[in-house]
Amino acid sequence: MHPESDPKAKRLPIWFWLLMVVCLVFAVPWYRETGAQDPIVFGMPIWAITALVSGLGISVLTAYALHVVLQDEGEDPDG
Amino acid sequence: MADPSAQATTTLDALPIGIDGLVVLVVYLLGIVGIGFWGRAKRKEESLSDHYLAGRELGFFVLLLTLFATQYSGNTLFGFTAKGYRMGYAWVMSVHAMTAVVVGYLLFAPALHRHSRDRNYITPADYLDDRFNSRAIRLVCALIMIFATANYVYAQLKVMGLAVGGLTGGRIDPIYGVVGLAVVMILYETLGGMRSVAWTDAIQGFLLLLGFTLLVILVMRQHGTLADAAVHIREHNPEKIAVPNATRCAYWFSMVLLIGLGASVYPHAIQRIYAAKNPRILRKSLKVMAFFPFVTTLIVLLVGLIALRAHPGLDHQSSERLLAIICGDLAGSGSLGYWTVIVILAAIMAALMSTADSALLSLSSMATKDLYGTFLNPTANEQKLTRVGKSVSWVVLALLVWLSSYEDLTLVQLLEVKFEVLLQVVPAFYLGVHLPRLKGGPVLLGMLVGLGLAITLLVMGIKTIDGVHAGVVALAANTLTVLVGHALGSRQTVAAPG
Repeated sequence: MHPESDPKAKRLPIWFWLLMVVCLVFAVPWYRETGAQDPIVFGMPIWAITALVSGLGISVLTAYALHVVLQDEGEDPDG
Repeated sequence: MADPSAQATTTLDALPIGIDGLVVLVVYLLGIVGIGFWGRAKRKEESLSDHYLAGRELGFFVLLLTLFATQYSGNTLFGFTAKGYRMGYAWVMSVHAMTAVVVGYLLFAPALHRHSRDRNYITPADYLDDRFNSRAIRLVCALIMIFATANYVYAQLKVMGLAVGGLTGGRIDPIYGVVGLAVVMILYETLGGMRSVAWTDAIQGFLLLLGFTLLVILVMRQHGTLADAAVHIREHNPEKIAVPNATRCAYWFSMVLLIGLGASVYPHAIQRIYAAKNPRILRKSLKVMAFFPFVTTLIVLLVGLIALRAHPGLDHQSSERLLAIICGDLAGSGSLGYWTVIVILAAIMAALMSTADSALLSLSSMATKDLYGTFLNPTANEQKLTRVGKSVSWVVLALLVWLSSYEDLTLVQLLEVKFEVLLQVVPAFYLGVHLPRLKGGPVLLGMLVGLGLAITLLVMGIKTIDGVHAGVVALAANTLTVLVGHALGSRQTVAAPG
């Protein structure tokens, strides 16, 4: 049999996808007015901080998904 | 990591490195060769799996650091610092792009890892040939990946030569630098294959992390914090701190797709997925990798932004030398700064060599297994193929070293299209593991359509369309062709009697 789709792939919960969409939407400042000068916090404008926090959210969600999806056969995901 | 050839003009001639620093760097290189001998001692058999995949036994730390060192090349340090300086805060996109690589792995690496163990794959094209039962797909995929990896090795060699020439103040001709470092690389690679390459990558990955950390600490100590820089940037370069326009945002999306998808199908990255000891180790390594952009590319961005205040007004060409200029500042600031620069230089060498050796090993495996072993000598046994593979490494490296001695090679412009070309194998892997009924015909057609469109656009001099990279446009056409072909094929199968 040729390897095809992944029969052991586990489904991710709906909240995962909702959070991922939120992070993806806010990762790039396409929704902001071009040329706006934001307040600076810790040396970064707010739009850049939003992009970084969204990126961090994507990293956390990716790590979670890897934790859930990539299991050994019979392995407890939390074990 | 993207556009390595763009940094080929970088030089380090501003650095006041003494004999003591050079001695440390030479000892470091000799230590790397020592690891080659260690890898040979650990060899279990003369087989493709042992030579190219370290017997599929890479543990957590080695896998993590080899994935890291392979993906973050010398260009991450040189090119990304310069780009942050020129683009400003919008270069946050580089953090997203490197995160996207791990998201890409998430989408296909788990399934690919399991299939590779079940079916004993060595090269990326092994999977495609097996999955779609198509030698034509193997051939096209192997040629695309060989082209991309040759480009990668070539670009790293070019920068190695300039780095050695600059470090020694021109006392050593760049070509001798290239030959010297290439000999070190090929020695440990021939001796221990992937085992040596992965272990040297692990040391080089550690050095890279150390270099990144020291760099940002000392730069802030010497040139002030990011908050100081932000005030300066708002006053003197307001466009670099303002919300970017629509074209820049489109470029941002496109850059994330280009690097995220392109780097996830690097053949040497796929072979590291094959080489993971088990799914748990692969999972742990990728989970940590998901956070590395925040301690690497983000740090490089911060250094670029702080440099806007410390070294204002650099033009495009001068900004390419920004890291060398900053190292020059540090080296002259006392013994701590001086030895930090030595660590950073070792990290730069590490970054160049770890990327080049991994790409070279991968190239050798594909030329041997996908071309020689499949089309020229299908009856060759594992020992014969392994010997041929080692010879291929020497011949290819000699050829690339020879090419790197030419200053104005028009081929260089062709080689710059690496990512645009490599992206065209993405649908075959990503859709291959997720669409069980997908056939080889649409995949091959899509690959050829994408390849043709990418090359046509680049030959016409069109690098981006409204901020979107030519390769991403071609990938869209490629994916659409595959999906339409798949839908039509499925409909015919349903309609067919019986």
